[in-house]
Amino acid sequence: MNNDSTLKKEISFVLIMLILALCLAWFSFSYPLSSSVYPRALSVFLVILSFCQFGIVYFKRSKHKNEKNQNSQIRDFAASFISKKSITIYVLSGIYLFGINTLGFYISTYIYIAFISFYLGYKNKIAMFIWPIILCSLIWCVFSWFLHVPTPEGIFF
Amino acid sequence: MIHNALIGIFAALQFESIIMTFLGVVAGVIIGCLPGLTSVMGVALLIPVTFGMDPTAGLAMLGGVYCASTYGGAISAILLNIPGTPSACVTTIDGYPLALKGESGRAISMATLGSCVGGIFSTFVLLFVAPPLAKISLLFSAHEYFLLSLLGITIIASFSDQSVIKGLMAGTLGLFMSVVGMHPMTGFMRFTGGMAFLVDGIPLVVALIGFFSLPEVLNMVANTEDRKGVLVYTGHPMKYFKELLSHWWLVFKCSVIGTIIGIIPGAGTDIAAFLAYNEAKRASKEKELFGNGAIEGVISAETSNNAVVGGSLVPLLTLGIPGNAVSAIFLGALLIQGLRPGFELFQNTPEIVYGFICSMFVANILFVPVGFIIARYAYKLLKTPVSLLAPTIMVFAVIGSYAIRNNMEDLWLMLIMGLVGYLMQYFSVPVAPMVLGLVLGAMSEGELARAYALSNDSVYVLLKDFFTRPICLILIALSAFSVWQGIKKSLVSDIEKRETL
Repeated sequence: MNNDSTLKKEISFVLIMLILALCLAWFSFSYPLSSSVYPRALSVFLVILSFCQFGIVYFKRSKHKNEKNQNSQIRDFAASFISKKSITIYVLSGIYLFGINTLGFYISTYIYIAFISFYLGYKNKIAMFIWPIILCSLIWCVFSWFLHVPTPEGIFF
Repeated sequence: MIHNALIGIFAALQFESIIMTFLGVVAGVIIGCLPGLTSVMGVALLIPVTFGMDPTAGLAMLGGVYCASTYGGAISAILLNIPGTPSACVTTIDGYPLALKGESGRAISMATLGSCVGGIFSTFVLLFVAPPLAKISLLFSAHEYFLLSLLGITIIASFSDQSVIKGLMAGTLGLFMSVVGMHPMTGFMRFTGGMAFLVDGIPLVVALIGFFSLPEVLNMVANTEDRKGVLVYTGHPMKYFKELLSHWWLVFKCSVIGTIIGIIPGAGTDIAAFLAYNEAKRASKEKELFGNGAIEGVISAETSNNAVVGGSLVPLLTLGIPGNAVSAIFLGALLIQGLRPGFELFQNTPEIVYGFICSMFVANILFVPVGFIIARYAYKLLKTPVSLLAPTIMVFAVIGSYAIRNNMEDLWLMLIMGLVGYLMQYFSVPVAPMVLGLVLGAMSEGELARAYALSNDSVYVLLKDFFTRPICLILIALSAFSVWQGIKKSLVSDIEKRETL
């Protein structure tokens, strides 16, 4: 990832944090004093930190204009970009939660696992349909029957 | 002391405790071995499973997961050159070259045995240091507890790889999240938006599951490279035990380093592994081997990172200050069981706390045979396709989040927290300070409110108390020092980056 995109990310982050800090401060100061001393102090501190970070990023931006772009080859342990697959999985997970309410936990879990495996390119079609059944059975045995840990309920199973 | 230790041994050797420890160890080794799954996620996902259990058995299982997952990262580090857990990054440096030379058995055996010794050493320290330290907690009042919670956050923010300002911002956001819900004294609702499920605040375990599980799932699916070239583990493990004994001084030093690092709130297993590795290299007569398959490199990293486990539980059990993110989740587990860390925990429920500590001995011994067996079949495990693993983890995250309050809204909360965690990774903001802020926030606000009441509602008296009480002064000095160290570290790394460019 090159310095230019890193800097853009830093600028976006600072702007988001500034807006968030100001919103939190606005809400904190709207509550009665006796119940909001702590959030007020935190929001002020967050605003100060946001401005400090803004200063650091502004300083880096000025430095960057005088330096060449360098491509970094350092491998990051965390996400270095937001991928289409990640967004899709996230949205599908949201739909899964909707499905739990209506179809029920086990049916929606089966559909979710089978669909996600298919979407991510798992090639063994038989295993793709058998693994969700095995997992749901394991979950029922271990959590519902043995440990009496409740699972989400919907209209159906 | 001996009497309590015997109570603990008896509790740890109960059938239910041993079974739960064993299950925790198996789960922990598998979780640690699979890249993308971390100790934090494993413990967070399994907390709801402990609800219906005896507290000792439940904590024993979580302790087993913690010990074993810290070690389990070495397996994929050595066989695959991919650390299963962040602390195993250092193990890859010399572990993988050893495996390439056909010495995978030697590397894994040393990693396993070294982890066992390091873990047992730190558990001994926990057993003997924690009770007297718990008595010191009696000297702490509201002022000291408030400053202690701030110290935990400043230390963890300063030790993060990213900038200290980002760490402090994350910590502050975590504290803010703990403010959601009812004020502890006045009962006024804050930041709930009129939503009833937020009245009691954001559930800690739901937030932790969201922060740590969902981003890993999203990272996994974004980086679906095939794990080719998994080396097979060969060799008989116990024949390397004599070789480990020949490095007894190195093992002892690394155990001490790991334990001390674990005790310091905020410093984690990866820092311990790096420090121990550097020490091993400094003291070695064959420095040129380091980076090309030095067995001392593997021993030092693994011994120290497992020694962190016991050390990190010392400030947690005695003062309620987590040593790292995993012990922060343990705090959540204790609170869910109705147990509050501190002197009362040791005084009123010795069978639980000593039983838990003694079960850590059992866990450190059990992961040796379990680790050897799983390592032998690791090449199959490590080929688990992400397309099956990712949705499976999501399902467990759903079960774990629902089990806390049987509330569908908690699942949406988990999803939102997951997005927050993922965005934090995207913007290179450390998550650990936020977790600590969330964990300590309720305590810190409550203690600040109490300190304010004790100061007769006078800000002047409150500040005067902060700067005149000896323990408070020490805590303020330590917080300032840790922030300064963090700033210095950021400045030095910026200068180094500019010099390499």
